[in-house]
Formats: sequence, C-alpha cells, structure tokens
Amino acid sequence: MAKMGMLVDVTKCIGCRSCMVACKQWNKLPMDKTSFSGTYQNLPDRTFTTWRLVEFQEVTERSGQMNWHMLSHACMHCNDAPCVKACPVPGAMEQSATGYVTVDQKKCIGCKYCMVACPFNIPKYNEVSQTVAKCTFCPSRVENGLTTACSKACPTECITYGKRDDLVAAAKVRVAVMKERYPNVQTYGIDAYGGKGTNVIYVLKEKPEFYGLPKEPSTNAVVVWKDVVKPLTGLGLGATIVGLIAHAAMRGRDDYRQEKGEVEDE
Amino acid sequence: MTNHFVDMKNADVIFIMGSNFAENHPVGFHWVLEAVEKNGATLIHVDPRFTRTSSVAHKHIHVRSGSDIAFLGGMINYIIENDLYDKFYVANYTTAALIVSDDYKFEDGLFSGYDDATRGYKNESWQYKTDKEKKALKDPSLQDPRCVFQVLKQHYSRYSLDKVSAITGVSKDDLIYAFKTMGSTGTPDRSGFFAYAMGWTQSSTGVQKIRTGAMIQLLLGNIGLPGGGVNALRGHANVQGATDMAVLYHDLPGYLGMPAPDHKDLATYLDKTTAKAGYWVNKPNFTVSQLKAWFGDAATKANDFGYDWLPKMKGDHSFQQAFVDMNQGKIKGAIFPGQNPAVGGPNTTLMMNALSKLDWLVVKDFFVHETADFWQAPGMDPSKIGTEVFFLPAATVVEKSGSLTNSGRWIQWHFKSIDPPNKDVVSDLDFAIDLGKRLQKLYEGSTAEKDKPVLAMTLNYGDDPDKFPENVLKEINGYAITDIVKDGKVLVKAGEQVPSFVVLKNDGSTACGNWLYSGAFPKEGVNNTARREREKPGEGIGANLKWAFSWPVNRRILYNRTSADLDGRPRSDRKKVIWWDAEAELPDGKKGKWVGVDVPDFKGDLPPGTPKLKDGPFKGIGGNDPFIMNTEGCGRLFAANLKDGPIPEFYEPFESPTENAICPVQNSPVAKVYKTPENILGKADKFPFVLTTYRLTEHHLSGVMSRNLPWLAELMPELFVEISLDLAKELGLANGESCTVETARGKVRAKACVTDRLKPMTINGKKVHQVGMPWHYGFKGIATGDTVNTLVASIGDPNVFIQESKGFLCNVRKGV
Repeated sequence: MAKMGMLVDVTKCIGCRSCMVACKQWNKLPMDKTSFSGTYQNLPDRTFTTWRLVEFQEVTERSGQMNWHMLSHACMHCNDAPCVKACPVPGAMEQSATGYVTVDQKKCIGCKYCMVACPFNIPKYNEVSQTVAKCTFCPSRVENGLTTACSKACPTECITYGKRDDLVAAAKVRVAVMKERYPNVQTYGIDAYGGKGTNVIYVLKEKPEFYGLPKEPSTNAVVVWKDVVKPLTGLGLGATIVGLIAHAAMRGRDDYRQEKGEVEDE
Repeated sequence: MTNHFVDMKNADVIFIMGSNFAENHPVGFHWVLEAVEKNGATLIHVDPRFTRTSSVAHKHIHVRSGSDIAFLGGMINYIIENDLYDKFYVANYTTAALIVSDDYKFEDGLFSGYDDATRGYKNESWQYKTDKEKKALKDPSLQDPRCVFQVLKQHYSRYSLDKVSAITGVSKDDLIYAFKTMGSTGTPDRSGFFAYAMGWTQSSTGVQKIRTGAMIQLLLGNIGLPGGGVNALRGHANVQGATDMAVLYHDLPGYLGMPAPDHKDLATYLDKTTAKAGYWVNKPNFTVSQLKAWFGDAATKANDFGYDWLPKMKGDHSFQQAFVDMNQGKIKGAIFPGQNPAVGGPNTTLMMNALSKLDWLVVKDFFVHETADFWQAPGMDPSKIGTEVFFLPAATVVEKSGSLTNSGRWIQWHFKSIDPPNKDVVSDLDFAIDLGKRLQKLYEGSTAEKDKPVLAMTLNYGDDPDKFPENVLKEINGYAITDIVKDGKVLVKAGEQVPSFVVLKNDGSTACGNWLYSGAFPKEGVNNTARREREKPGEGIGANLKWAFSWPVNRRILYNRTSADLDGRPRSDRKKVIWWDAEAELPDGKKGKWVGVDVPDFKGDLPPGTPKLKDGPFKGIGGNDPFIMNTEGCGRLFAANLKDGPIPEFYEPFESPTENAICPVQNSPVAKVYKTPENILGKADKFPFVLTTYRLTEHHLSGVMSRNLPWLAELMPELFVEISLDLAKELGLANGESCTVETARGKVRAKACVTDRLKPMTINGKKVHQVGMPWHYGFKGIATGDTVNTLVASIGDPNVFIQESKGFLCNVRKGV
C-alpha cells in the first residue's frame, strides 16, 4: 500500500499557526495554560494536549540581515517507528499500512518507553490519564478521503498531504528552486534511519541541528527492545519483569539524555 | 482595492507598506507567494518592525512610524528625476497636462486658501485654469511650469534622498533599492502592486498617504493593469461591505453622500452633488432608486421620494466626535452590534467616561465583552454610573446566511450551516428588521413629521427569517416597479430583478438599495454572489468571473481601459486585460466592442479615439478616457476635493520626536484635535519613544472573538511591548520582564519582548527608539490584558477623522 505523508516546507511558512489551531479543533484538545515567553512561540514544547507546535527562532546574520525561522513540528510518523518497537503493549502503539502511527489511549500503560525511544521527543505523558499522546495524522480524516487537519488549514501550502513518493519528489524540486535564495536549503527525513525515512518530511532553510532536530535520527536503544526484550514478552514473563530488564537496558540512554538536558529525572 | 487578491499573482513587484500582510491576511497572502513563486515577483516590506511578513520578503526596510509621506514623496521625486514614469500613460491617462489655477501656490508648508480661524482650506485656488468656455487648459507636452506634472515635480523636488533618509531613518541605499525596484514597474510590460492597511490609514495625514501611493501608481502606469493598483487590505471580513453599505455617518450606500442641511430639497441636493461629466452623472438614478427601495410606495415624486426623511449631515458625527458628544451628555442611548469601543476606540479613558454618561446601552455580540461590562472595568465605580445595559446575544456567521464583501470587492455568499443555540440568539439582520417593525407598531397612527420615515420604511422581506438575507440582497440589487421599456421592448417586467444599474431611472420606476451591488441578484433564483466556478488553469489572468460577484458589474480590475493604447490595442501582451475588437458583434447587430479577460471598465461599444460624448450616461467621457468616474476622464495627480491639500505634503505626527524637516509647518494644519479633557498631548522630553500599534494573526480586533477562544488565547496569552535590544539595555529590561508603557493619556502594563526585529533609528541626526504593541487586549475573556488604546490620543484625519494610532510618543520603564 502506498505510504501517505506530509511535507512541511518552511520556505512557505508565515508562522500563522493555523496548523496548531486546526489540530486542536479537529481533535477537540483543550488549551494549555501559557504566559508570554519572550517570543511569539509562548508554548515551550509540545504537550499531552498540544501535538503540533510552531517553533520560532530569530537570527541576526553577520551581515546584519534579520531572519525569522518558523518550523511547524510534530510527530514524524517514522517508517519502522522506534516508538512502536519500544511499546511493550501490543496494539497500544500501531503503525498503519500507509505509515502513520497512533496511540490507543485505552491500551497505553504509560510506561514512557516510546518517549525514550523517540529521537524527536514527541510523545508527551499525562499524569492524570497516565498515557502518552501525540499527533495521530488525523485517521478520522485520512481514512475518509480528507487530508490532515493541519494541511487543510495551512493558507500558504507550507504543509501539504499526499503520497509520500510525490511529496519526496516535490521536496527535491523545491530545494533546487530555493537554493539560490536560501543556500542551506535541504530536505529532511527522506532517508532517515538508514534509508527507511519518515512519512513527514521537511524542506528546511538551515541544517537540522539549527532546528534542534537530530542530524541522523537514531534508534540505538530500541534495538535492545526489538531484538532482545520483546521476544521475552512472548515467553510470558510479564510486563513488570520485562519492564525492569528494559529499564536497566535503557538506563544508559536515559543518562545520556539527562545530560543533554532533554529529560527530567522522574 | 482597485485590483483583488487573486490578481496579486500577476505582479512583478509587491510593495507592502503600512501593512503586515502575512500576519493579518494569511489566506490572501498565499497569492503574494504565488507571485513570488510563479511570476518571479520581488517582495518588499517597508515597516517599522520586522514581522512575519518580513520573514518571507526579499527585502525588509525599517521605516520610522509616521514618516510615510516623506518616504513616498521621495519615491515620486526619484521616479520623476530618473525618468522611470510611464510617459505615455502619464501624458494620456492622467491629469498631468492640465494647467492649475494661477492662484494656486504652496509656500512655507501651506497651500493657498488656508484660513487660520477655521483651521481649514478654501479650495477655489486648487481648481484648473479654464478658458472662456470653462474648459480646463492643458499642455500635452507637459512642459508648462503650471501644468500638474511640473507642479508635482517642483513640489517633490524637496524630497531628496538625503532629506528623506534623515526624516524616515531609512538609509540612502535602502531608499534607492525601494524606489528603483518599484520604479522598474514603470514600463508597460511590468506592474507593481501596492498593498497597504492601517499603517497608512491611522494617521492625521492618513488619506494623503494613500493619495501619494495612488499618485505613484498613476506615474508608473500601474492602475488598470493585472498585478497593479492601489490595494487596501481591509481589516475585517466584511468591513468592505460595511463601507459599501455606508455604515459610516457621512455616506449613503453606494457612496452617494449624505445630504447637508443646505441641500433643502432633492433637486438641490442632486444639482450640488452630481458631477457634470463622467459616469457619476447618473447619480440621480441611483439616489431616487435607493429612496424607492427604502420607502416604497410612500416615496413619490410629490414628496421628493421621501428625501426630507433622510437625516442631514450638520458636521462631524464620526466615531470620535460621537464619543466626545456622548461624554458631554448629548447622546442618551447607544446600540453597538458587533462593536467593542471600550477596547477598540481611541483614548480608552474617553470611551469609558463617555459610556458612563449614557442612560442606556444595548450591546449585541457573541460574548459579554468590555463595552457591555464597561461599568465593571478596573477603576470604574458602578455606584456612580447610571447606565442601564442590555446584552443581546448574536448569531455567528455559520448560524445565518448572508454575504461578505472582501478587500477585492468580491461579494461572496455563505449559507447558514446550523441553527443558533436558542431563540434568544438572533442575527443582526433579524434584530434590525424586528426592531424596525416594533418601532412601526409603536408609532402606528402617528402624524408627527419625525415619525414618518420610520412608518414609511419598507421591511417587506417575507415571513421566513431564513429567507431575509436573500430578500435583502434582492432589494439591494434592485427591481423594476413598473415595466422598464427600451426601444419598444420590455427589458424588465414590473416586479422583476434588474440586470444591473444601467436600467435604473430617476423617476421612481425602479428601486435599488445599492447601485454598486446591482447585478448581484439579477434574476429570480439567481444569486451571483453564491457562484463558485473557478477559472481553469492557464485560462485568463485570475479574474474568476464566475466566482461570486464583484462590484461594479462583476468587474475585477478597475480602470482596465488603461491596459490598451489610444487605438485600443494592448500595450503589452503580458499585461493585457481588454482591447477593442472592431469586428465583434453587438446584440443589436452593430459591430465593435471592447473584449478581453475581464469585464471592461468602459462603455462597451465606445470606439477608442471617440471625442468626449456630449450627453448620455457617459457624458464627458471619450474613447480614450479610462477613468470614467472622474469628470476629467483621467487619473488625478492633483485633487482639489481633499481637505488638506491637492497634493500630499509631509507633516509630522502630532506627537513627534523631531521637527518637520521638509517644511516649517510641524503638523497637519487642518487635522482635528478633539477638545475633551481626556485628550492630553505629550512631548518628547517626557515621552521619548515612538510607539506604533498593530495586530497579531492570533487575535482579532478588540479580542472579543479571539481572546474568548481557548486555542487562540493560549497562543498569545498576554500583552507585550516589542523593544529593541538597544533600548532594552538602556532601560535595563530583560526579555519577558514586566514593564509599563505610558503616554500623556495613560499607562498600561506589558511584558517586554526584547527583539532584534526592532531597531533604533537616526532621525534628523538624533537617535530615536521605536516600540510596538498589539492593541487586542482588554479585561474580559480568557486572555486578558491592559487596553492599549488607553495610550492613543483623540486626533482625526481631516477628511475621514480616523485616529492617529501609529507613530505617537510614549515612555517605557521597568516595573508596574
């Protein structure tokens, strides 16, 4: 079955945040409590109830030229998704045939392994429901002949929805067209994970690191899961024991991420 | 707009000034990106702040808020000096060749005819010099020192690059870049699109700023071309509709003009206000048809069609004056449907004081907002306020059918999707009709003169409220009262809709609510505003003639006759709109008409080169007169009918950090400074920074619809003030820190948004800081904040009385 995806082309983004509002509206998400943050962004990160976030960065070049970068960033719906591999509960985290990844709120046990596995820090945990949530790719829309809510709302066609192959081709054309105006313009996500790629791809104006994106999304920690621990679950060892083993195995990565300031100690 | 949103894709240069297009019109902005992507257009953004519009522009130029006419005057000077103007267009399609009166002069900052006592101009000396037959003299060679072109050239010769750079704070390099780029559209095969909004309008010289833009477009030959024109980005989904339907006090629907007290009867009013040449000669048809629409059978020839029932405009009754009057106890009650003056009105202290003088107030809106609850605002003492407030909930746009007219004059119908939540939630139209009918019942049997207009009002929209909107549109379109006959044939049967305003009469046989909208509903069951057929790709220039209905008569680009030369041939293949086809057949069998990719803005069968017609609906217009609404038939580079001068001159905002460097008169000598205790002006010693106010994508106007919406409130939760890194250092302010912004009128608390997107400027040799604040916040809703209009003064442009909410003085300090 053809993979479906989204292309986010930052050269067309005007930072209007229609995508954020459309996502909240379609998914009936409540507002987060925010205060003025010092920039227009105001929400520092995605949360359990904010799945898509437009991230703003102001940069004054050495030449004096002012640049204001905006990136609408959410779940990348990675092929062979690390979060799906990490999830110990069958069916709690699933990847559709067309490539999007969803969390089943009724099955999720809140173990947070997906959070650790995700190189983009996307799934967010909620204390009350004890589950995680993230962009779902709007299954109620895409399974009914519609596009995702964010792509529908985007007024400049920065976010577009379609066959992944078509979007990849379009992204490459876009980079060629924009090269003169933005010398660092590049695609992102097409060949991630050693070629498997993500189903949400980007056209960026700068290198991925500029946006806080991993240059090469990696799945090291998850290999342990897929190849070692998950088979153990099949042996009926029970989630708790498996969890303990996994936790020990994951600890290394946790420490690394804590060091990088990416996760807070529980 | 003279053009429209989709047409932007045809531009070679898009010049956004006095506007933050991408943030305030994100959907329309898509066409700007089309122009850049597909047409290779250059996008320039001139703005005191680097905004989300600037982030996608090829070039952003910081300009001092309030200095626009200096900038634009400099552009005129550069265009003329460097021969960038479209010589053919200027010579043939503008008033450049006309000779101005011998009495006209401009000296020491004042035009001839100034009267100190009245703070106004008499404009006799601004007329053209005429011969014995009262025909304007002209010099087609444009050399006569008294011809409009030379007067213009002389006037703007003072606007040198050095002078303009000093006044605006823009570097000479940036000025040259801007002027040269826009100037590159002075050739017939290139067009430049001016997009403007409140940055130009909200000023004591607002109208003249727009005038300068219009003059530049005439010089460059951009008016009437695809991707050209003078284009206001209206700030609300239907404010264009509101303006067309004359919600403002000084006008009647279709821009017919409110009568004055000395227009003692219909004949006098029509005689004094109807042009003697140009298409406006048909005004009597529009006026009488409008009166018939309003008063129906009660309007007869015998009673001047009810003319006496119209209010007569005694003076300034604009928004600001109304609140000054209200504050003096002269207004007893008010009805505000969809308006929130407690946040949106200039000089909030005046707004609040005025509201508290009312006996009664009716507020009709979606949420109980700051005006409805003004008596509970911070600082108010309810025990001292006697106003009785009624709140009526309003149906939203999805709970009713109706039309919205966008900036491009496209009238677009929308259908009711759901019922309002309960019977108390009523659309503004239902409320107005209900109110009208109740008043008629209240006054039933009265013979008092003042009650007659109310009793005579026609409110015949049927019994089904769901059909009211359509029925009102049908009345606005117009219908025949008796058969309309032409050459022995019945064109329109009595009771039928009229096809357009061309069949309207001044004898009471036709009715039409607004001549400009005529054609929107030309036949029973045919609502053109509901059409949604798109142009096919590659076909046409984006006119989309089958999508909705634009006024007038579905014309998309106004003045499009200019796209063809004196022989009716397109001046350029890439910019062609209409052209003369001598072989094209007319309905009556004759040959020869204007054809093309838009509705011709011209007399369809008038051959190019025809001498000015002696009579008829196009009296005074010849085959080469593209500006059919002007008596001259040409675009005006010199305009006698504005209150503050026939050509724009730069004056400083009333609160300015510097002295006017272009002329010895500091401020507009005719702008209105309202006399009310709340209107205190400040000086640069106490208030050294230049403040501009603006809007954000996430909030809408006074915030009623957006600060009550959780998903928008969370995006922009608090009031902030944007200040430069330099100023933050001077003030010792950290990003996000609480601070106070104050003017001579009052103060507000805000969070500091320290950003390199704002920069200090050098103005006339002195360092001047600029700061900016969004004005959406009020004390009610989910996202609340102090009201920025507290800082704004009560000053009005002399032509339209819009307030000066950009480019005034403030102080910023740490702490609250």
